[in-house]
Amino acid sequence: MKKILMGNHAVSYGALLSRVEVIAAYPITPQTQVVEELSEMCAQGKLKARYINVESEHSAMAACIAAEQAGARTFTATSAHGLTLMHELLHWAAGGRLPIVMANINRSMAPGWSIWTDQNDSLSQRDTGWLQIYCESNQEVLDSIIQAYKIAEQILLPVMVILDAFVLSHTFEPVDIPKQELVDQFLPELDYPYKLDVKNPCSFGSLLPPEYYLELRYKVQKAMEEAHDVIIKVDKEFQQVFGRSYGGLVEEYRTEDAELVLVASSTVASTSRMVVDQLRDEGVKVGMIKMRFFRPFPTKEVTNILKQAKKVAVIDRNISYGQGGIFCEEIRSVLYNIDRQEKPPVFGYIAGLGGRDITPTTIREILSHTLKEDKPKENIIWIGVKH
Amino acid sequence: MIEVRIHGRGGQGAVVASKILAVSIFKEGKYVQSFPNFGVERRGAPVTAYTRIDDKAILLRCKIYNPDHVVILDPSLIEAINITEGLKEKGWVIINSDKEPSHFNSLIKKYRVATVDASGIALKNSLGSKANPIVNTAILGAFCKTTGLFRLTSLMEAVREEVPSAQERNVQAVEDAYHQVKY
Amino acid sequence: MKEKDEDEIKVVVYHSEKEMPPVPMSVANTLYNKTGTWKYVQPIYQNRTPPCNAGCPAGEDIEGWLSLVGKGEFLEALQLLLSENPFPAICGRICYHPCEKACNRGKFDQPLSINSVERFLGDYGIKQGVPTSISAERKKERVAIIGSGPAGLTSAYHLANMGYYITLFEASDRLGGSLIKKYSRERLPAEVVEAETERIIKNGIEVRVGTKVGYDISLENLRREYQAILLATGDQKSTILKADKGKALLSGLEFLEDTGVKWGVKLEGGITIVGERHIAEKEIKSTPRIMTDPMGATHEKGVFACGDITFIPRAINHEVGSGKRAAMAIDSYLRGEDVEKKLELVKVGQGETVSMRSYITGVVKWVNKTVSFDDLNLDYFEEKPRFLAPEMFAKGAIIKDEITIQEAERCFHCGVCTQCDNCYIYCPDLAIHRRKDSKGYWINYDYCKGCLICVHECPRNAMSYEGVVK
Repeated sequence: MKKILMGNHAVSYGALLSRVEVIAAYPITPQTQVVEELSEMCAQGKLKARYINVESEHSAMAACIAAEQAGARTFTATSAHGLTLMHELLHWAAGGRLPIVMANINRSMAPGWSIWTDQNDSLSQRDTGWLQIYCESNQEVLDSIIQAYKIAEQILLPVMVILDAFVLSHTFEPVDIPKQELVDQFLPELDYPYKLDVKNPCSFGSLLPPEYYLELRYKVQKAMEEAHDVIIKVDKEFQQVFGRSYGGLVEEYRTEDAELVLVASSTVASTSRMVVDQLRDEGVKVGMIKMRFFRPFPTKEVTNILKQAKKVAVIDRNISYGQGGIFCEEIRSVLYNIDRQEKPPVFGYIAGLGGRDITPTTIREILSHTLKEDKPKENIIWIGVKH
Repeated sequence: MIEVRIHGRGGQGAVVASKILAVSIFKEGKYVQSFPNFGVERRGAPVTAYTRIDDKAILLRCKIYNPDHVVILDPSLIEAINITEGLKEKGWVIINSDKEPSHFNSLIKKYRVATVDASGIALKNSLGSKANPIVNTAILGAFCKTTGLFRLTSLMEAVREEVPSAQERNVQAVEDAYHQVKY
Repeated sequence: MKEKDEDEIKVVVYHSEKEMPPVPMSVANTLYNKTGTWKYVQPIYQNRTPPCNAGCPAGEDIEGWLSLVGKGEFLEALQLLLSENPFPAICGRICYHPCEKACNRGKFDQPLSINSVERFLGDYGIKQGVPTSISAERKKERVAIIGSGPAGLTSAYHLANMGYYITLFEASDRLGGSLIKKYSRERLPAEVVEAETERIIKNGIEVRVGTKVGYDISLENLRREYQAILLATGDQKSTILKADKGKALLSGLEFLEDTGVKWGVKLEGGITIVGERHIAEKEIKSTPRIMTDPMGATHEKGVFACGDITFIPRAINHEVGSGKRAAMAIDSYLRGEDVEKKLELVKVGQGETVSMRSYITGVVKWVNKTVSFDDLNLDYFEEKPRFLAPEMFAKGAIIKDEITIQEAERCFHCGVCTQCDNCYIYCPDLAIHRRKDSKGYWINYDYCKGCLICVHECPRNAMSYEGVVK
């Protein structure tokens, strides 16, 4: 059934259809409608879940960890300062190998106080061991929540489904809400293998001496590597059941014979498709890859696609201060080990921080700049800074 | 693609109007997208909402800078802000006003102007109070008639679905405005 | 450290990451880890004295019967009440209820309407005709009780319940003493006094109304016929005794015998029977009083006194308490036991209050330490106004069962475990278990590490702790 849904409600429907059993969340702009809708669904009995009101995001994640450890499928949603307040427990969830799914609405970090979108909140959680999915439409948001559970519960790592503040969270557009029976067929009940059992009491997250700590971290990394194939398999299976797919970790758009490949994520990827079409019409050999997953990093895909390009332009709506755009740096990093003659110059653009609009004009400007220059003169090319 | 910008004041329901517009057109098989101006809304302060309409999936994800049409829920905004900013020539300016379109002679040179007494229609249908009539449904009736972008029946259906209360009175207001709009 | 049950200990050494689970969790069952060895203090379940109980001179287990009322078990509640005080309907009307002043809830919102609930129960008892329990074992000793006011009746009631043969002498033609003289009919209707008096007498008590001891029957005769005599003649109007100090220092009975005046006459006319010199001098100018020890024994062997004739505050609840203590003293005397030795067992709070149930069963419900407001963990209580207000009776309202139950449910149950599960829920080592017989919990000290979270989280101070000797 197709319905006009705002991005936040697409998140709620994703959780509803995934039959989450415990929700613990704390409201924050621009995430609020996600949890409002879920609490309403619980109150109406549409969703048979325990909704736990908590006093902070730190507590929300703590409650999710405990519930997941008890074997319940759990969900939470947050944004910006809420996410960073959870930081400690994000490590705990991943290190504890708990397949929690969380939606994060990308909102810029203060100060100055901002409620608008950029990716610094989620990207600053890069090393916590969570998988990260960046979505470009409300449909992808809903579908990714369902996929996220399937992926998480196979590899036993938590997944963050990420959408832009306002540009998706508060935007209404048609969303196909899949039938519950189909979702049930796609996503079986959770049977968490290491759950709390009063008959066999074990301690979780207890002291892990140097003799063993390294091994368990090794296993987290192995699970991340394993996730690569699981993501692709789940996306394919999703297509078989629902007729939609998102390319697994990355989606290529008109990259065949592309000399210039644009790398974008989230809603910037959506607008970029339009610009790519326009430029193709003008005879420019340009293509785009959408970075759907940031963790695990799609090293293989990125390398294979980009080594065929003459130039690469990366749009980052984020920054690692003292270095540069985070997607760009990681892309440069994975390209480092390929043969010298295959290595394209990577132009790193930073744009749209704090919700500054990224319009087709912005993207055209970036592509024109890349076409004009032989190689980047600076590590960061800033777009739109008023000098 | 057709892009519409709606101007109102916080509390007047501009965002809801943009969604009802989207739902009406979605019912006719088109692609739509509607969203508020991304920001902090306060009662009484100028509020902007947007609706995009297209025959194919809408990939564009930024604000509307060059709308095809604008809708004005509160005529006092005409003096307060630049309501025609970026508006395409010959675009419709649909104003909630009991005046004739010719009254807005500064607009009429470049754009097409339509007026409808949405406040009066709202009060006649007991929607809101004299101080704060609820005009967001009535004005859409005028928009529907003037632009001819979609059918009245689709709009009435959307109003029934999307308005939280007094559905039939809102539907009546839509119909009244549809017939009373001057252009 | 090796524990004796080594079979539970599983020492695992991994040689490869492949053998390891992905989750940082203990591979062996954690039961091998006897966290109990860590502790230097340990929690114990220990009920303490509720302040209402300590504040009730009549010695009622108020918390106990409120708890039963809260469950809607009115009959059981009434029986518990009657095991201490035979006059709930009377006390529910005329008692000045110091229990409510002592109630910790008073410092939180409003004290429990204890007096009103008691009245409800008393009236329930009169309406339902609840029988009192009589000891199956009849004893051979006979006790004479002189005076049928509340103190005398209370003693008669408890002694009869214990199985003694009781004769109650009343000078006037009606039982009740101060209950019929002192209070207006409006405040204390005669039928309420009759009903609660009748319930006592039915327990096989021989009543001799219109019999003045000293006139109609001599004290010597009584002493020959009865193994114990209890003076409960009440508040006698006196004239100032014109006796010299030396005489006044004699014990009451000696004085009577020496002067050769008839016992009853002298009491009616205002003779003072005295104990210690300074009291004698003081009291001699006011009202006649008999000096007794705290439990009601006089200087005279086998002669006891209780009620307003002794040095107690003149109020119904003190009279009931006094009658009860005298009953204990007489029973102990007749058994050849020292009642003082039982005092620690039966005392409730630090005042004069005693528990008849503790006296009879030998079982104490509490450690005798009164729970103060500061001892409670108020996080677990919500403000709730009174449901049952005393004015409701005055307005002639019919008090519904539900209102009474709701009122009783307001009780904090200070010092008494209500099985609220807080200790059970909060124990981080799962060392607290529900008992199979549903009577509370037990602590597995092998795993209790002595953190005392349970003690802290107990809302009502029904847990304590003690040191552990290692």
